[in-house]
Amino acid sequence: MPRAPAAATEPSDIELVDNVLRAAPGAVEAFYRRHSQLIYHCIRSRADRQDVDDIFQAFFERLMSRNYRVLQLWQRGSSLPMYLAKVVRNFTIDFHRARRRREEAVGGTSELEPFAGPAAETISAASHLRELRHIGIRAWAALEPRDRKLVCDRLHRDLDNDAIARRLQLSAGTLRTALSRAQARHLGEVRRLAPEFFPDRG
Amino acid sequence: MSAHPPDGSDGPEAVDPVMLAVLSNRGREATPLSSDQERLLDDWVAGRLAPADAERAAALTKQNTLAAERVLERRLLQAARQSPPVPQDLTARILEAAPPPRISAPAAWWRSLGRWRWQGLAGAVALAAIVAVVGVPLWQQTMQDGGPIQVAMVTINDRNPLFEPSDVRRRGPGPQPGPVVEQRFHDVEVPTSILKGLLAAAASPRSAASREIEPYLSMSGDGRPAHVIVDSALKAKIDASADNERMLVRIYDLEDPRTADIRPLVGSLPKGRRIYLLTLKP
Repeated sequence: MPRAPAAATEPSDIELVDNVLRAAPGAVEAFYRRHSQLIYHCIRSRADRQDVDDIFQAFFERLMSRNYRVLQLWQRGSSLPMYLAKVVRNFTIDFHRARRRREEAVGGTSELEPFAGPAAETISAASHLRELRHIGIRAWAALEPRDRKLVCDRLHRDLDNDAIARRLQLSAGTLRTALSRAQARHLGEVRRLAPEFFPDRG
Repeated sequence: MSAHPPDGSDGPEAVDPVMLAVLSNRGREATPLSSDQERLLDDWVAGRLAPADAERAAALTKQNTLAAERVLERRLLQAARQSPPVPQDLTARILEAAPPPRISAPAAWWRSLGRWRWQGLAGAVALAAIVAVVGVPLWQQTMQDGGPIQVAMVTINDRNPLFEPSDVRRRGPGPQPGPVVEQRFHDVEVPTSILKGLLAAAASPRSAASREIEPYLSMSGDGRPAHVIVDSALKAKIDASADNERMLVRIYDLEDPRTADIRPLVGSLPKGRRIYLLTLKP
């Protein structure tokens, strides 16, 4: 299981979270120093630039106002950065949903909808990898048929270039170009669905 | 490896072998990673590997779920590091709003003392040391029944009142004095060490004597502390026979009415104490 990076002299993520939960002096600052950049990046990757700071501040306000319940729900032994990325994603989605509800005209259909609470943070230890695999499948499904074949042969059937070229009756050079473009389009879709795993484009 | 379009580009995603390897993991194998494998994966994500090692890392990521999860986490952190930093004013606002740490009342009081707390602590330690060295032995003496035993020396010039009828022995076949049913004194053998302790206490007026002598005094148990007067003749005998473990001592309870003729021999007596005279058998 991946472990959050921490220098030998620094507390582990488990110690860090435990310190926050028992309100130890300096614990919130230490948690903020280690993970604020990650949280900010995850928000930036999913929100409009003008909303990032507001969402970031609202995230910490909610974290504090609820006595760090999110951290209580974190399953020790799993990756805290991955867990936080998921929590931030849910929070950002809730933020946008709440805004849409506020901006809809009075008398709209939203009044008839139940007032659903914010999405609960996932607390299961289900693999984050499995979730990304589902995202990969959704991204694959959005591709053109030929791209789907290429990506499927390469990623899931693990065929080499010669075998793929024979199956699709393509020359080696044409296959390389087609495969490269298909993979790029696939990754573009994955980035759209899971942007936090990709570097910021500015 | 993680080649991606330059900042601001909206062009197609460049081929990213790290993400492609993670996406192609089938989730069938989950073998714990060795430290070498962890290092290999970390270096791969950081772009520090030669092509051959990168292929090894990619193969491991495709096969092992734990390897893929580690790569994914490293990938997330790497992306976060490349992201713009949190604005400082935003950080200040958030940390300012953080609730103060929960501390107990004693801890809060301790902190409120500021720099005086260490000086106060040093003073308390010094005071405790003084109490331990000086006060505790006295306190222990006081806490025992009757309080400390006082000891004084006396030189008796006229020893006639100390001769008891039972000490008189007649030679020859004449009639011996009959057994004395009840005497005003009692003779006991006392360990020499206890007697020496009494003499030492008498020599140092501030120190209290050991209470080991009490069983030999036949104290009445009325709760009053004892005042022991040691005959200087007894002292001379103790000094002369230091090798003996025990010594015969005659003890008078000076509150016994029958010792009225002895009381003037020892001078003024303290009040509120049970007074005994320790002397030797003539």
